[in-house]
Amino acid sequence: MSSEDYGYDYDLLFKIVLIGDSGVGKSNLLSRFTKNEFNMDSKSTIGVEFATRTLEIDGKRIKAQIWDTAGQERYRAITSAYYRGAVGALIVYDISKSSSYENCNHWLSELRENADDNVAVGLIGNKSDLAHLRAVPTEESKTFAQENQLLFTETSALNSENVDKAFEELINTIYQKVSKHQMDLADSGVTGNANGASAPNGPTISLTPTPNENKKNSGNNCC
Amino acid sequence: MDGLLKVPEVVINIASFLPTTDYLSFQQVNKQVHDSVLQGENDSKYWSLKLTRMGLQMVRSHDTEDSKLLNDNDNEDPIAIFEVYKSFTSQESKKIFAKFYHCYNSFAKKLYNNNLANFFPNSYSNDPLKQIKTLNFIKRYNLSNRNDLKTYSKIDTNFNILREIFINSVLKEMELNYQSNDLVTVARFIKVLLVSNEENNAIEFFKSKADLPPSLTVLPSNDELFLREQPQRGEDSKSTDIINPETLDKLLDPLRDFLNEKIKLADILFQEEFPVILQLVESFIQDVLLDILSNILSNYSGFLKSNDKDSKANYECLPQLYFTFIKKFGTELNDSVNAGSTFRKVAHEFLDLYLEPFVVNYLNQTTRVFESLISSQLVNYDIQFQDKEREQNEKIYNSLKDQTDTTSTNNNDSSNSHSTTIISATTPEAEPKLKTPPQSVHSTNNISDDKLDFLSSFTKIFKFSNNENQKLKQQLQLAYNLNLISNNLQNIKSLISLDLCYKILHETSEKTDEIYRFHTMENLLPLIKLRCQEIFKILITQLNKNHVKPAFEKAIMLLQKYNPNELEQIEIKFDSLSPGNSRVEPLVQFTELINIGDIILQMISIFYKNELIPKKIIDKNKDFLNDVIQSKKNFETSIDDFVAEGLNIGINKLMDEISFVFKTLQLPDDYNPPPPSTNSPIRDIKPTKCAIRVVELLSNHCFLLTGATDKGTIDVYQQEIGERFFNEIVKHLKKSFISTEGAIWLICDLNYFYDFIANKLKQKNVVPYFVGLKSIGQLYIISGKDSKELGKLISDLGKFNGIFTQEEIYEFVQRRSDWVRVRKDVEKVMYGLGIRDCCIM
Repeated sequence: MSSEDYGYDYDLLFKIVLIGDSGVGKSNLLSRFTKNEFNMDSKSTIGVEFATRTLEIDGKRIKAQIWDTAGQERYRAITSAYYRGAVGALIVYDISKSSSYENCNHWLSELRENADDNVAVGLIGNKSDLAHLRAVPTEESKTFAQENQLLFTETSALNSENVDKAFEELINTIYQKVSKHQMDLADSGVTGNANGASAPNGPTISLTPTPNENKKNSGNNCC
Repeated sequence: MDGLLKVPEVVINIASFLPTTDYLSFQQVNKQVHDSVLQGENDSKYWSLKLTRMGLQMVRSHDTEDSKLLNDNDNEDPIAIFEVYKSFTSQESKKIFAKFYHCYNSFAKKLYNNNLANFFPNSYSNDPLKQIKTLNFIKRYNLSNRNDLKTYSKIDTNFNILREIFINSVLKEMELNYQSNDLVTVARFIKVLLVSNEENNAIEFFKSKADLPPSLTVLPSNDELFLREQPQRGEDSKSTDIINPETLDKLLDPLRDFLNEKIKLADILFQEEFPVILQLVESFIQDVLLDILSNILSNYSGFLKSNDKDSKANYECLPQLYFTFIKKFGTELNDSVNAGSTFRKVAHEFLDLYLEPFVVNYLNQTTRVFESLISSQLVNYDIQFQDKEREQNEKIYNSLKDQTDTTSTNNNDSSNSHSTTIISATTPEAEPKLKTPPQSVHSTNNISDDKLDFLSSFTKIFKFSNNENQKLKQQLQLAYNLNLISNNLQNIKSLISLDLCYKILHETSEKTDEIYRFHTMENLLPLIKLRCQEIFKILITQLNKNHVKPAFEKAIMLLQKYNPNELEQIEIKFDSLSPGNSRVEPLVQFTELINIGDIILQMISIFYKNELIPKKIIDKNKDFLNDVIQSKKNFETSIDDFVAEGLNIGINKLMDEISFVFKTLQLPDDYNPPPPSTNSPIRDIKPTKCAIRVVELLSNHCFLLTGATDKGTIDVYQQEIGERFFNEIVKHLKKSFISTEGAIWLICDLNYFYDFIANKLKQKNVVPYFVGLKSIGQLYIISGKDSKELGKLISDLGKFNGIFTQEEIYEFVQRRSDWVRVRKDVEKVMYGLGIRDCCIM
């Protein structure tokens, strides 16, 4: 059963979510990374959009399935659905807009609350081309990232600066985690999905087959 | 007796009746009469009266210049004396009369005595002009004798006899000199006649020399004169000749030369004295040209009849005749001193005057002729079209029948080789078809291509038909019917012939020009405009009634008949995603018809703007209620209506097809995949095949109208498609089962639809619907564990862009595959039994 027969063009599949305030440039980061396109007057995303790009790491084809979310989604149930199964996340802010940076804390805690514990997270300061309007110092963000164990890059979707680098670093980190984790899984013999160590060429969609959902209902235990 | 003479009144009264000599004697009858009665004022009265009778004018006093005129010279020139003395005062009346007396009384005396021999002095003998002038003055002088009626009458009678003799001899001399070609002398005599007020004789003489030789007016035979086949209008432009122009020249040139010769003669004989040539031209037009014209017209009528054509279309040759006449007998006439510098203009006016009734007849006849010309072309096209269609239908049937025959013989083959046999058998059949029908290779090719397409899928049916003969026959009938539909659909666009429309428009333009050429005839201008308007109305009415309307009606009928599913049901199993199938054929064809309709409207508009407006045939500011504009508008409205109706049906068919694709291509697993297992691959996140197909169908149809019609219509069409597509999706969603895992693909599809609507179709009005659908997609991605929040969410109408009602959203949420499990929680939230209520309890 070769992967071509079933249309697999990858060895591993990573779900990555893009989060951050509305208007920080998530959709353009994504389109720059997946299609090398930039749309000057893009409208705000409605719901969720998907895009993919396949990278090769250690001879493995890794397909990044990136979920581009709307920054202003209010329903936790929906955001929670976005985070479900994500192995990586990029929290994006606009370096010329300090409020979007300040909200990163909120996004981070939402992510921590909803996503898998092992999720790899990168902090992205987008719109680095607007240096003359900078409102968030690089050093401050760097410190914040270090404190929270986040990857950090400043990017410009407009002129492509660091876009690939940001995504590649995140995917690399995920890959390291997955390799380590799969070894663990193989050792313990627990295989929650079809793609255990016994089938190294099969696709993988999540880090842990059963996310820790038990903890999440804590807020509504009235009845 | 003497006593009487003492009464002045009696003396004056007597004196007034006396001839000159007697008066002078009477004056001297006695001293009293001489000194006191016929003296001074009374004497002057007598002489003044004589002068007045001769036409001189009595004035109170002369202007200072004239007073010296009265000299004592008695040798006045008789020819000039009437010019010298035109007025007099009463004091000088006697002296002046004496001068006239001196000049003319000898002539009067001769006449009185009827002594006519050697009447004129010798010096006059070779100068008839002097003689006639003298005669004219004698007559005038004799008027002074009217107080003595007897003398006057006698002189006058004899004078008339003399004058008649004189004129007769003048005429005789003229004739003799004309015979000996001494035209200068003839001209001198003509002048004599004119001086003697004998114009009629002069004209008569001229006319007698201007008689047209009858041979010049003999018409050539019909076959020589009329062109048998009129040159194709439009192709060999300009030439609209009906009459052989060479023959016409041969007929008219001698007549023109004859006229020019007479113009020369008149110039020699009359110079500018008397405009005899205008009379000649006028009577030439009346007597000769009108005859020729009438005869040609009636001959042409006979010619048409003998050629089985409409004999009442004979005035069609009038424009050619009229303008040839104007050219030959206006423009090409020589200059005429006699008729003056405006000669040719006057000749033109004469022609217009006399030809006007003929032109009016032409104007009245030609619109009817034009109407039947246009109408017959359109009707012929329709007949030919139907014949061709019938022929094609027969060919299709025969060819299909041949196929089944081949199939029957190959019954035992395996189904695989089976179908190849049939396909290869089809090809040679298509070959001769290319050659036989007398139509364009292009269209034949299309038809045979379609046939091949169709047959290749058709043969696949046989795989299921188990080679039974009965079934084959049924299949044949089905194939025939389906292929007929597809063939007829192909024909939709040829229902209207753009070439024919163009040709007819061209003919209209030519006819308008032909009529408008007469616009120089100012009297007829209102009639000409009216006729041009009628021609335009005929164009529109005929195009609509006999071409566009039936074409659209038939196209709409075909559209209505078309059932995509009938074709789909067969094809779907084999090649459902082939791009050739992603079109609702009749809509595509109909769009071409719309395009053609639009081109026709544009052509008419251009014609209207370029022909009717600049020629002021219609004034769009004044005549906005004019029925020409009305009929143009009606035509536009009628096409618009057909377009709307056709598009509506087309959209229906498109939606039928989309609905069919949803029903047949959307697999149950698409939105509700089985739980992942070792064997089942994890699907990539991308739109489902069904969605791709649907969008393909849409994009194949949404932009068909681009460039074919106005933006307003396109917007309406695209918005209608957008809205109805939305409704199809809603219907489709309400029938689907969607699991939390499958929701990703639903969202993908909804995103894909949104993308098409927002970025390809770009109809802002319908985008919100698809935004709403995106929100609906989110209902399914929510985990069943979040059921309470799901309830909250569906209560929030704003979340769904206000597109859906609460009930609808509730319907949507029921399509969750875990509905049974989450229902309780959701309804609790929805119906007020939510978490907060619980706290209060």
